[in-house]
Amino acid sequence: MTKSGREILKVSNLKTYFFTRSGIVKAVDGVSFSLREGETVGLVGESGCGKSMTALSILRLVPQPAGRIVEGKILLDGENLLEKSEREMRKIRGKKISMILQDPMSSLNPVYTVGDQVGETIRIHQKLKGARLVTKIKEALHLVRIPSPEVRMRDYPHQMSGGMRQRVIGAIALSCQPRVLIADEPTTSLDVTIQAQYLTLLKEVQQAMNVSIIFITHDFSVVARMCDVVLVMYAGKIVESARVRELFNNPIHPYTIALLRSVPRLEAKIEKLSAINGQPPPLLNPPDGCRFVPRCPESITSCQHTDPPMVAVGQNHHVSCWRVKQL
Amino acid sequence: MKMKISRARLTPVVLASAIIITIIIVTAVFADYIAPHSPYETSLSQRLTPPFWQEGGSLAYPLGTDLVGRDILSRLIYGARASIIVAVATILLAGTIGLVIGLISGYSGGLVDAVLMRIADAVLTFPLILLAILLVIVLGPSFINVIIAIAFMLWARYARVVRGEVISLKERDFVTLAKIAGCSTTRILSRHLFPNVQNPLMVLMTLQVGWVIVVEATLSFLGAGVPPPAPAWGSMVAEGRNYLTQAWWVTGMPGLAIILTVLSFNMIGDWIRDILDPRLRQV
Repeated sequence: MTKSGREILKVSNLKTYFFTRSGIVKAVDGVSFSLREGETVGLVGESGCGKSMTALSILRLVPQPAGRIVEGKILLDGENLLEKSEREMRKIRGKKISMILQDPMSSLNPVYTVGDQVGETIRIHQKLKGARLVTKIKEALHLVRIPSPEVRMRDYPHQMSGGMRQRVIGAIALSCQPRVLIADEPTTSLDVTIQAQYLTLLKEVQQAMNVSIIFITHDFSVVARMCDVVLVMYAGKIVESARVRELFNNPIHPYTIALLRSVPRLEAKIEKLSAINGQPPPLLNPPDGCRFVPRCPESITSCQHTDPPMVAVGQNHHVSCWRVKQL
Repeated sequence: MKMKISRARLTPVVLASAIIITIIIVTAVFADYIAPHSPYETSLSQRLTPPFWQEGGSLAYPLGTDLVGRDILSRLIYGARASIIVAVATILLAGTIGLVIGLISGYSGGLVDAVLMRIADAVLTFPLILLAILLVIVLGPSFINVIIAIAFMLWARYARVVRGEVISLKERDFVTLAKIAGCSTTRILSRHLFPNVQNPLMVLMTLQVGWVIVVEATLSFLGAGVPPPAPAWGSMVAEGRNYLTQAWWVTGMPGLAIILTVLSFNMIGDWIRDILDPRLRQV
């Protein structure tokens, strides 16, 4: 993979809060990262740590009216998406940034054929009709290796398997040659064999189209396979970011270490997989200081007072932990 | 959906209902050719002629004549026209209003939803007949006003059903994906949510045809419906009720027509519901 593509997407200090009756839920709290052309960035963390909310924030689709992006910048090719009108955003969604969701069973509208649904995005953004639209639909389905697209495009979603549907969703997402593809756990609900196929397919399509991918997952084996850069997220914040090799070889944040230890490995002879004790903290009125403190084996009293800043510990390797020097 | 059709069997009752409805619609449409007499043609010498099978009846007036000697069969046929037109127009009007309000209410949520649904609740709490009479009195009795009055009481049910469906649908991933693809709100409502609420809406609409016919008949019976002398089943029932002992057919025939029609529409409605969505049995 080329590692030197230019920067396409830059998210800085993104904060997405939910204003509820019981208080402010800080779902995304100061997330910054950047994405280069043709690169895959992995967003890893437990359920509810703000991964999906980060993705939806980039598309400006945070659930209204409770959720709001309160601060930050999202620069796509240098243009701040947070300053765009809803109308302008609609032209970006599906065309420049698109997304694949987790559950292929509910991601397609049951009343339309898959061809119609692939065609909708193309029709909206490229204003095509008739035979040219059909050609485009076939191309999109062909791109994700759906056999005999001219036949399958007339199928309804219920006539397809989960893996097939997820490919169709991929075809929809890629139909307008987006610059950025957000894949939100696209393989979590697929069979393991289908998972591997799907990931290979994504990789190939990425190379062919030079699209940048934000890959959201909680599965480190998928990260190892897919990503160039990994961001570890915990309770709405990024706690560690590094290139994938570096992170696997030299994890620093106690949370990253704990996560990696909870994944089974063939080569390491560990008798017991270790679970991370406790629960992620509530994002409703989170405490000051490092949010990992209650579960952290290395924490000291000063960790509870102020939030640790992101510090560089190596080339492209950043950690947010007060004890980074000792670890 | 397609695969469910085999589940709802075409029973003899459904078939009979379908035949009755077809006859009623055909006669209503071609009333001018089928009716043996004009519905307004009076003939005082022939007044209160009984149906042909009773003593004194004649085949010239198969179902007898009324107080002023008008042919009851002809009036029934023309009355069917009024009933069907009122029923279909009312349901379409109420269905459209209910659909639009339900879609908006369910999709926007929050204050809009609260306001719209409280209005719907308010409409639903009114005693229906009373409200309809009131409306017709205010608007003045006419064909169009009867339709408006009944539709006004009816839209709230549709709005509630549609809203409920939309609320459960809008959280589904395909709606999120439509937003991600760059669809506008109008497009999401019309292209993604509307087709998915079509089935329950259709079921409710067909189930209520019979009900609207009854309401229209009731209004006509009370003199607040289709204005006389235009034939309407309800007013025909009303006209004969003082002569029930001497001439049962004046009231009985339109009464029978109402019963048969409403029953047939309800049977067909049930059947369509079973085809489209067996989950809706409690609607």
